[in-house]
Amino acid sequence: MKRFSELSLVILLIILLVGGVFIAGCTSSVPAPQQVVTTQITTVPPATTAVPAATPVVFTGPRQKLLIATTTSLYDTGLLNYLETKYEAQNNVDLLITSQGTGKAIELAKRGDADVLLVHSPTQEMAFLEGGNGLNRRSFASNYFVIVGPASDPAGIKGMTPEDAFKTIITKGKAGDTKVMFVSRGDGSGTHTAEQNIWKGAGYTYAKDVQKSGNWYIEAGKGMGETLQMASEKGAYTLTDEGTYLAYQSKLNLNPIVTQGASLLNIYSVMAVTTSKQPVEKITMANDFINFLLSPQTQQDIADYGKEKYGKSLFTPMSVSVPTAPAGNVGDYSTPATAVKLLKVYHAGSLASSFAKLEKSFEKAHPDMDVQLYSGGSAAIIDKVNKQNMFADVLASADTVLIPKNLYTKNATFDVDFAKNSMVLVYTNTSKGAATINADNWYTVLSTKNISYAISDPTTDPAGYRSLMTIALSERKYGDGSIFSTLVAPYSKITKVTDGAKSTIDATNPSPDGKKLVITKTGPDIIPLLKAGTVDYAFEYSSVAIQSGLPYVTLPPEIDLSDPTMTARYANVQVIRPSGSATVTEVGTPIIYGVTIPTSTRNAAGGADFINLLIGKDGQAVLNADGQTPIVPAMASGTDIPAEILPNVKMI
Amino acid sequence: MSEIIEGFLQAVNMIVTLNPDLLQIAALSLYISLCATLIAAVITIPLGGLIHFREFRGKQALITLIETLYSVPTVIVGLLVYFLISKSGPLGFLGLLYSPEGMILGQAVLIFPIILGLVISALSGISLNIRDTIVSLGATEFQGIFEIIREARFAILSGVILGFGRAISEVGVAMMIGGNIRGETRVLTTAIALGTGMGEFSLAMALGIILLAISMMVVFLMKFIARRYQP
Amino acid sequence: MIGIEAVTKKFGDSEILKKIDLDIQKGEIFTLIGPSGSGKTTLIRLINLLDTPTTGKIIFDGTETSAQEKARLSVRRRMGMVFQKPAVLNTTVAENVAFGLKFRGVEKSQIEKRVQAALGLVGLNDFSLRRAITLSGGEMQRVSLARAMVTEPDVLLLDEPTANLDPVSSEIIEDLILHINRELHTTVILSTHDMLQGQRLADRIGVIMDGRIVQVGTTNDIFYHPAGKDIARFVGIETILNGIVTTNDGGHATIDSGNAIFEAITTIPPGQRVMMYIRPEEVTIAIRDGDLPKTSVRNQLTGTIIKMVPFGPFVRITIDFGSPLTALVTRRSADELGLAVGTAVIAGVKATAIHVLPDTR
Repeated sequence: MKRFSELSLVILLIILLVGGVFIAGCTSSVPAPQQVVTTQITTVPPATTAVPAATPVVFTGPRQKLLIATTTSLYDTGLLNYLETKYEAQNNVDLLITSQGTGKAIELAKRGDADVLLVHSPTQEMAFLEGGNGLNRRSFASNYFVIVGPASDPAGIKGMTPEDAFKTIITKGKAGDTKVMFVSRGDGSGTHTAEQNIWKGAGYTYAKDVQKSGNWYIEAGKGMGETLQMASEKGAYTLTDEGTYLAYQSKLNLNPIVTQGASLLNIYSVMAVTTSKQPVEKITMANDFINFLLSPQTQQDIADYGKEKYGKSLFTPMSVSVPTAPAGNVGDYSTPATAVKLLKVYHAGSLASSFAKLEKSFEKAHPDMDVQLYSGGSAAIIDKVNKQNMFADVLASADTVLIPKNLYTKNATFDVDFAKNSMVLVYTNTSKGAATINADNWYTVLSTKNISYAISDPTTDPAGYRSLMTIALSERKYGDGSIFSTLVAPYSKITKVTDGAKSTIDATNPSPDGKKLVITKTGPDIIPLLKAGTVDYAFEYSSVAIQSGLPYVTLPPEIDLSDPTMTARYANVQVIRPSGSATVTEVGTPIIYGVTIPTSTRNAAGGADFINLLIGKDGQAVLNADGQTPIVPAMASGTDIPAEILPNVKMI
Repeated sequence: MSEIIEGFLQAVNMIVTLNPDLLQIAALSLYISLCATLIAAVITIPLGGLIHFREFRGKQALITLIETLYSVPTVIVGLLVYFLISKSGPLGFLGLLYSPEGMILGQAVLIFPIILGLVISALSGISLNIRDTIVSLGATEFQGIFEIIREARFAILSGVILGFGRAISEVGVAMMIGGNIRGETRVLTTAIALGTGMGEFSLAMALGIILLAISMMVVFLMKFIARRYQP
Repeated sequence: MIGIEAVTKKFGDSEILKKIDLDIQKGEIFTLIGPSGSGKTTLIRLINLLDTPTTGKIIFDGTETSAQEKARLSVRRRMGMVFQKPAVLNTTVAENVAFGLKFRGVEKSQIEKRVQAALGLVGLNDFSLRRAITLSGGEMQRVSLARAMVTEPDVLLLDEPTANLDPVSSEIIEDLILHINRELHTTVILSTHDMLQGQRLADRIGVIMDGRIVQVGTTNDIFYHPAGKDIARFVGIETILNGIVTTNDGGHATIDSGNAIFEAITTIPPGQRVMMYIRPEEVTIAIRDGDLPKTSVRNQLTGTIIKMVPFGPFVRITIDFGSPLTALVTRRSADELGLAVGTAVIAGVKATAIHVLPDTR
């Protein structure tokens, strides 16, 4: 009978355990939280946008699952658990939230092991999108990072800008002040990326100057909470998001030290994951969740979160205020997410304005597609496709010649010429010599001492090397063979060799002096430079000038690359520019914009629709308004032109 | 230090009040690790018998390899199994990622070398005389393996208990494959990791104490069953 | 019943069995005797098909044993073996004994009956439920015997079964072996290094030395007519003398050993060098007391006792007559004659008791 009693005890234990499973509910308690901290943050008052409520999709049938990959900082604030409860109550969807760090979340999404990505690292998000992995990026809230440290502030950085604070810390740390230390996340997370951006802004190369530069800099390789604990233990500074800091505050000996600065902005974004295997239903579910985050009720809930515990909101939803940030960091925060397919467009910088308008009308007509625009120097975007193996559904170049030259036939097979442009000399009312400058004397004005001018980078941007071509071509037009050597050669390492009628310009190493001749990194940098008064004049496309609203000099057709009948004349000048480890020679051609669908496209039908829009009546109107003369009908060359486009083009 | 005491009190509190979250997490931990141990044992015990009794080239090298795998980091096993069952992996269609079943697979893979190695070691401990006797009594190869395994049962059980211990106490696989999803794949160890990451040390201690208590019950249970089931 | 043809066995580089040819008759008790390390265990293991010979074949009941495990298993199941160290499994005695039947798939009710019968055979009826590992050495060996016999084997193999046991247990085992052979007609192959055990139990004896069978024969053959010096030493012939045949008259020869002239029966011609083997039991001792008595014992050697060693109820007496001669005498006789070291005695050996072999050195 001894056997019996022992056996029954065991059975009892098993019943207890099994019973526990059945009794168990599914809500868990959020770990106990902490007290208040005060930090003040300034934001730009938002454009209040009325968010049209997207009709939530109702899923009938068995309960669906949606997998959300997020970061530890966001998860540990408890916001997601709070929102999860609300969402699951209204929807037949189980949210499965896994928080394992920004890098891991992105990896999971890329491999299709997550349906939604919820992170706060704009640079990494944009790389993720450019890889074709995501749709419908929406920013839904923001807050600010804070530099926290010991109350005694041994480095004396209180009140400084983040960049100055970092400069002070690294200087003192490297000099051997043992009281000054910094703990970094060191784990490629959103917070870590933000920290790296501040170092960059302060003028340091992270890998060379900061990492492994001494005992003062500690790379924790841990989540935010643990990093804070470490900083507290060591009496060191660290960068943290406000939410986590508040959650841990009672356990830490850290105070907020630096709280103001544009580089402290922390933007939370959400996007739907798309892979070749991701089913449409899952993307639709993801969109539904995105729209939930943007909905007025949820935005309000986000604003309220934390008020009770901490006396202040932990997050500023976009509906309350939209912060200013470098272009692209803050994603769309109002348009409902409906797209389930991606249309990725690479386009020349000068097409930015028109393509942005076309994007809007295209998405209206095709709510199932998310158009993602990527702007860059035409040569640079073409390199992305043929050298870096990036895919694209549409590629529009400011120099149509580059398409057959660099993309045929492996990466593209056809080319549609759709617009023209010309080189002009832009200036402002306050530019020196503005009163008298015209099409005949511009080069004399430019040669005047104290007058500066800018061009775009000739090594990557056709606008740049075309500016040089214009200057070279003017020598024959005006019968003055010294124009180039007066304006360009003395202020840079760009040289010109003339052989009879032909000129060859060597721009392999521009090295401008930066005072008379300024070369900007990208095209879009030029207009701001003019407006700021840093330069007096700039060579740019007429379309850019028109869009900027600034005055400009219309140059003679012999030199402004606008006239296809003068192709032979333009061909007399060529520019050598570096390409990869070699060089390439660009021959002068009329400025014609070309567009194609690269062979790597994942959405050929969408690409064709977009091109049809571009070359159709609506596209023509948009181009005209922006100063890019449309070619009507568009001229197509090459092979395998998509059937949907054929009726709308003329073959050459 | 006070966290340890606080943790203990919190543990008792959670048990006595039958805290539903705790019960769910603890039951899930047990379910996953017991299944993993069972699966691994069922495969490794006969396999260990075969390896031990058959002579073949490279046998010693194989055994050394098995023993080397005792030290494989749990995160690495987690990563390898993840590559296998990720949507972009060969077994992605099974949909095992972020499910308890996937975690069972991962833990079974993790503890496989340990149990296998200890089974072989246990069998080696049975003297050659016994083996000769059994063969001489007319046992077929499998009858012989079975009897020797029975003879070594207590040593083998130790191996199984060790395997269970490693399974229920590890974090790497559970985190990678399970994702620590609340209500779905959060087990004691990942909850402890989350707790420590969030600075909830008392909670973490409490969960740790509960994990040990559960393990103790399981070990007692296994030994009890072994003693009862005596031939 | 069992034929061993040109069998050798090598382990690594060492050759343990160096060409064995042997025939075991059905129903006999065949004893393999030899010193430790001579290969007895190896040979028995080969017969039990636990190992395979390096070369040669083993024939069981007319069929050559194959290399196929399945065929080997069925042959092995017709044998039973008892090992030197009784290996019992960690379970009850009854379960231990039942193993062989269990392996052969015998049904449960049958098993119970036969196990009880086997335990009865070895006199351990009340031991069924005892834990086998708690038994004494002798009891364990009886369990091994029961375990081997319960399957009613045609051949019972025993490898030095009493080597680790006390005399009482040994005797019980020996009686059981005899019983099994006489009553159940089981062929028995037994190995031992105790030549007296061999003498007691065997129908035939095979002497194995250094991996070779050096002599096969009945007990008499081996003990009284060993085929060589080493065998002789092994079987307990302590007096070995060399000499030359001086005369030979129709088989009756005289042999000069240097210290004495012996008369012995042999066909070896004069002039040949020989070895003479004399068993201690064949030597008589008389006190020297005046004239030599008239007796039929042809060889009378005069000498002095140089050593006396008790040997159970006997005394082993070594006499020096110029060479050493060992005699085995009852203690009673020794006492009555007042034998002691230094006593002058006359050792007598019958001519028929001297075993003569050519000296092959």
